[in-house]
Amino acid sequence: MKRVTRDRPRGEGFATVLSSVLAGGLTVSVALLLAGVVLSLVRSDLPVARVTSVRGLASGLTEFEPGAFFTLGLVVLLFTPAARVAIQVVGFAHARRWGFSALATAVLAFLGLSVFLGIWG
Amino acid sequence: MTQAIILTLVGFVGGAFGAMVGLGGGIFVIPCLTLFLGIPIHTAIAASLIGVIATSTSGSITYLRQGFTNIRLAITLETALTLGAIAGGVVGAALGREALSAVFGVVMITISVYMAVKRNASVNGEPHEASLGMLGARYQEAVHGSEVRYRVRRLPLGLLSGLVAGHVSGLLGVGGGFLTVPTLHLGMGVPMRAAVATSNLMLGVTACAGAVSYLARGFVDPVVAVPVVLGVAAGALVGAKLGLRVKTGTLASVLAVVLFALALQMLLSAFGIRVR
Repeated sequence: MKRVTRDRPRGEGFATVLSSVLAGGLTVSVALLLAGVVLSLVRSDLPVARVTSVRGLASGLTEFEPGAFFTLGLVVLLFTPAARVAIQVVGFAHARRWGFSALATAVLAFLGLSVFLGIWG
Repeated sequence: MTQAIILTLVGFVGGAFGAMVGLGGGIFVIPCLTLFLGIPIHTAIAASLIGVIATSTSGSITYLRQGFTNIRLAITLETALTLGAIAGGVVGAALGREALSAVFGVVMITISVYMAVKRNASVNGEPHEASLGMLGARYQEAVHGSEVRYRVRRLPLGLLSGLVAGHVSGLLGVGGGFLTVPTLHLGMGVPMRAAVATSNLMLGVTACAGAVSYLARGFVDPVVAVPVVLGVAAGALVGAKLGLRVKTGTLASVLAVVLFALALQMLLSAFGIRVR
């Protein structure tokens, strides 16, 4: 059944772009998680370790450790909504919808603050 | 291996249902992991929060392309949701979990009954294009193909609800959709399908704030989180497509039943009774 999309918020028209950003983030994340699953099956002698540092993540990826792929996949998924909001900041500004662009910036700032409090608070 | 398959199935059901009714699925995943699989509560909440992001991301791909999501309304309410989530994380246990559960139980029972009674009611009439306002929108109804136009009412109510939903999300580790969907639909005059789609988009940002904190504290166990996320991602894609085929009245009825069941569970937990 063909469905015609009629709702494009006037002046913005970037719902498809946002959808693509989400689809891209989800695809990369799922691909990394599946790669981790395959590696954990192939290298069943390795424990699925939690990676807690950037350096550990980088070395884990180069050594094909499943835990590193899992961690990176989850991190990519975590930051996909934030990437969507960042695109909205630019998209609304491009459409000269300054009010909405300011709101998106505020959301991004609050998100940054919550990350800061979560990690260092 | 068996546990991984069960976790994937739990994620699939949570994601499918969550995307269909705009709840995120965390409220289904957490009890399943803790009560039936014996997973520690913090690990379950962490897996659930990442699952909510997967539900939101996966479900929104479909809803955005179909034009049901009100992007401007979402970003407006997300300011309150994220602020509420920060407050929830900061004040934490200022209000006891039991008291919070009791209050929400009563509120949710009221909402679910109201939603069941008014499930087919037209919330907003059919405003003209010129009177849609800054936040109003229109979309093509998937089931019968007619164009639906709506104007957003009572924005302060939505912002207040967003603050509370974000606060609860930060406190309990759920998406907050159980409050945003009824508020959007019943309080702000947003049609059910648009309310589900818009709530679905907003949940990702709300859950993101809490999930980072759990990740930083080492509560994210890949052995639990990965199967749940993979299940949720697949389930939410199915749920969002399934949601397009369901009539909005039916969607509201299903949501009313789910809210009622959850409210009952919350009330019982407030009095120290756990339902297996």
